[in-house]
Amino acid sequence: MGGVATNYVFNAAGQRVSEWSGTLQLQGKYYWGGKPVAYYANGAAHFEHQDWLGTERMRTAYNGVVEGSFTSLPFGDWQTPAGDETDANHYATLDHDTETDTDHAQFRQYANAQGRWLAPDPYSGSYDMSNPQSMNRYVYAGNNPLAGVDPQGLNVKCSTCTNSPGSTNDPDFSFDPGANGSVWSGAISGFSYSSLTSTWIPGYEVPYEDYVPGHWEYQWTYNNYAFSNMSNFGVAGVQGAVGPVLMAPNNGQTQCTGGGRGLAGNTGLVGRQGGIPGQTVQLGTAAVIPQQFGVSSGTALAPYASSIYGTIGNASFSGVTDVMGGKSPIPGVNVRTAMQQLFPGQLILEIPGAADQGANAAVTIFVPQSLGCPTGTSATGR
Amino acid sequence: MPSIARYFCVLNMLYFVVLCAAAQSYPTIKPLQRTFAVPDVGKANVVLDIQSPDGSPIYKLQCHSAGFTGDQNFDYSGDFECRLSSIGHRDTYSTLLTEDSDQSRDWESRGRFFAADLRTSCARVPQFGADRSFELRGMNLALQITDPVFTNGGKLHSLKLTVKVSPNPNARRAIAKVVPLPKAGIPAECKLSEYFFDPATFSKSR
Repeated sequence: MGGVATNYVFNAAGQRVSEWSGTLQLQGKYYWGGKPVAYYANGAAHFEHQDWLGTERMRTAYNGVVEGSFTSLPFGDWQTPAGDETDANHYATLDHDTETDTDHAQFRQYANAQGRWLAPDPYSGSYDMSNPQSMNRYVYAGNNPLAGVDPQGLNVKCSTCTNSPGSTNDPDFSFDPGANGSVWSGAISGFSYSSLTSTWIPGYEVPYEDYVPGHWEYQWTYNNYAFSNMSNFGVAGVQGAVGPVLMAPNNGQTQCTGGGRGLAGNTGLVGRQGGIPGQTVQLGTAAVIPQQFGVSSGTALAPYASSIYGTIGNASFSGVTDVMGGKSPIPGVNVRTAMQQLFPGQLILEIPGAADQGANAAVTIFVPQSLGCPTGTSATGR
Repeated sequence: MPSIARYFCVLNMLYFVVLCAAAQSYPTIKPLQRTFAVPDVGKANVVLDIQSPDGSPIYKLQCHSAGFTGDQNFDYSGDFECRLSSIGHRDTYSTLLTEDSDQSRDWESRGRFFAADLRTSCARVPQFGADRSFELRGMNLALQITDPVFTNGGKLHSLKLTVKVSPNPNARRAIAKVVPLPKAGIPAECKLSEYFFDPATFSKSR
């Protein structure tokens, strides 16, 4: 009763950037690389020093004098400050609430004593069938707090990883097949986490913005690939980025989806000049039936070979280097025709180094627009 | 064992003995030697029937360049490739010149030639250069390439192909006898390990 409210201002990433009492600014805070580096309060600048998780371990004054130090256990429990305590930011970039001894993220409150969130994960896109920890909606950072952080309470970021987008152990890059009807492609495995996030800045965004139930979508391009970001329509109009998701094809490519038969390829072929002129067979590349791509031979497919990539079942491939052939399961019928008879209407791919994916496996394939979608698939995406 | 059962048992054994003997024997072929001039390798169109002594066609040898579309049953690659198939018999292998009983590619044989195979020192590599022979189905089949002409860019432009066929009763394999890939003494520019499938890595792939 009769107290004065303190207002907090957050930036687009959900980070607290200033505190106000009415029109009086109490504090201003600065971030670099997603982590707080300094703040200005009480007429002086204070510099913050964190460990790899972003947990503040020491605070110094402008002249290098240590103002405070902090210790805690892996889940942020037993937070013990020493010295000056003028800012709430402590464990894994979360703001500590001394009254409840919990930590504040933009979308959820974290109970460090239990090592669990106080509310279930509001983002359904964080379900990952390959990661059992994602099924526990209260678990913090995938129950691996020494490797992951969750500064927003929505999705784990791997602090120590340099994974490629779509990697299942880097949930920051998550699949979103439900909302967008597309999946990550192995063809972008060359991207690193840092190179991708560093490009998510204004200027790379393409003029696509749409509100769909539950979130906003943005798309942007980089290195001839199109990406999309979903942003939850956050509290008080603040939007928090959830994580980029590979979305639509670009670079004159058509995204095709359908079903196929994925065969395990012979790794003994690797390093050999295959049936596509100029292409050497490599692990993770595909042998195909040229006729399924609307051309008559491997030679006719050569101009497109490097621009065909995608996934079949759990296997991915980047580039076509060979033509299926050899011994046929049906005597007197060449193997390409025989396979199409055995698996009618399915795209047939053979990938050296990949496991057999069986019949009717889900296929997402990107092909040059001039080639068109191969047998068993049809154009999808935007 | 009742006599009728014994009778059928013996009959079954005889049937399989006859079947096995038939699988092991191949028709006798008529020796031949013929030279083809290929003035433009990009349009190569060598077709030759291998016949029995009475003139019946038994096998067909076809040689074309990559991308040839006149034979839907084979995907030609390399600079010049020869394929051997049966006439009047339903083969399971796309070419009988393959040595791999689990052949998984049409190009998997020494019937495929690259320009680099036919240059100077590489051309002299036995069985992997300009002269290659295949033992199979009661015959020896030799492919000899002579007078190769290359463009300024190094592409194979023209050649002469001599085909020699002679009976070999010791050649009992349905596909070509395995010829090991030489492991040493081969100039690096010959790229044998890139152009040929190493028999040591033959394995079932599908």
